[in-house]
Amino acid sequence: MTIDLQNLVSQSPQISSLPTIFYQINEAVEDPECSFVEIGEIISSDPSLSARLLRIVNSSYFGFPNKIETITHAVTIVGMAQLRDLALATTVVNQFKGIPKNLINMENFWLHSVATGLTAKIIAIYRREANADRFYLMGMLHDLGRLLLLLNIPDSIKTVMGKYKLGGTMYAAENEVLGFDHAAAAGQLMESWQLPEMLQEAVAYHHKPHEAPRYPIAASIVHISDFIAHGMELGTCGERFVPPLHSKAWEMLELPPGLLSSIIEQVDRQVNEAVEMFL
Amino acid sequence: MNSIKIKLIREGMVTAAAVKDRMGRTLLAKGKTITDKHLKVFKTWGITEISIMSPKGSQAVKERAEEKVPVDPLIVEEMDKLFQFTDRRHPIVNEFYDLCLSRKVNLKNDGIG
Repeated sequence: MTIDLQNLVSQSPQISSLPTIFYQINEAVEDPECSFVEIGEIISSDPSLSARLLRIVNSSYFGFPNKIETITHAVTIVGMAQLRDLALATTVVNQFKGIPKNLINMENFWLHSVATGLTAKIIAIYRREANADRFYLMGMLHDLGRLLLLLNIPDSIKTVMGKYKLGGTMYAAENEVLGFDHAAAAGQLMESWQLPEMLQEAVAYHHKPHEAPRYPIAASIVHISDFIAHGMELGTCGERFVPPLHSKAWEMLELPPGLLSSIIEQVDRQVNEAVEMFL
Repeated sequence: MNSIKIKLIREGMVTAAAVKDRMGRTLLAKGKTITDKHLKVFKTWGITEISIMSPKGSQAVKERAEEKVPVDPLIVEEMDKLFQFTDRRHPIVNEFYDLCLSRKVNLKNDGIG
């Protein structure tokens, strides 16, 4: 079965690009001369996005003592880059709304994504990585390729599922049937959305982090986080098993084994609030 | 000197070595008695293990932590299935499996899992 991954993304008009508002926000955040007020105005021009963002920043996950009433206030408190990332996360969740339950349970899908994101952020903070929130986003988006495949090539996915039922992991079945897996598909989608290269690579290589050419650390963080989220049985992207751990990825991150129990505790404490924020 | 996981550290234990964060900054010097406030600081700065004095006390803590409680074989079966494509001989996978198993047992006992 030969499917061209690039064509697969470009021929999906609904998801091959993000809403224009996201690119406007991104451009403003990257512009050193842009003020908080200007970014607030751009976001406020989309009432639905503004409402979702205000709900997120007022959620118990953030736990700010006073209610945040305006987007400009949210920008000053949360910060431009983090608000941009939150806007992207909520836009993506919105973009994939309405997928029939017989294809995939979206609540379980986002639970797995959020748990992976939380874990990735905890590891990034421990490693003192710059912009730990970026890692939350990587975890949140890492399995989007599954949705892309389900929506666009459902018949081929049926063949994949047939193969998967015979044994092995789902990404191995995808590779065997399609010649690529959902990780590569997600990477292609991130590229088409013009998201940063680090994010594209971390997502595309999350099942083979040692092969990531430029950002093996980021790919390893997502790989380990996915492994942990599966082991904790927090949601699923359709995979029923814990994927194999690449020992090189673990060694590269230089994490103490004792951190595992601390990650489990933190994720258990935060995951429900983090999911409620988006759904 | 005994290295003990942070969750097993209790107030009143005495440090056998300085507790330092990843940047090498000392959070608590050697020979100090750990208080509740120190425990919060250690957790905030991502400390996962601490060397403590009084080997007798620490040995007891370790033994208590390693005490095996009987686990429902059905839960073990479910976990073995879940982890079937991982290499359990890898020490990290093995430790993570144990943590997930005890978490699952606790969730079941609490009526959540």
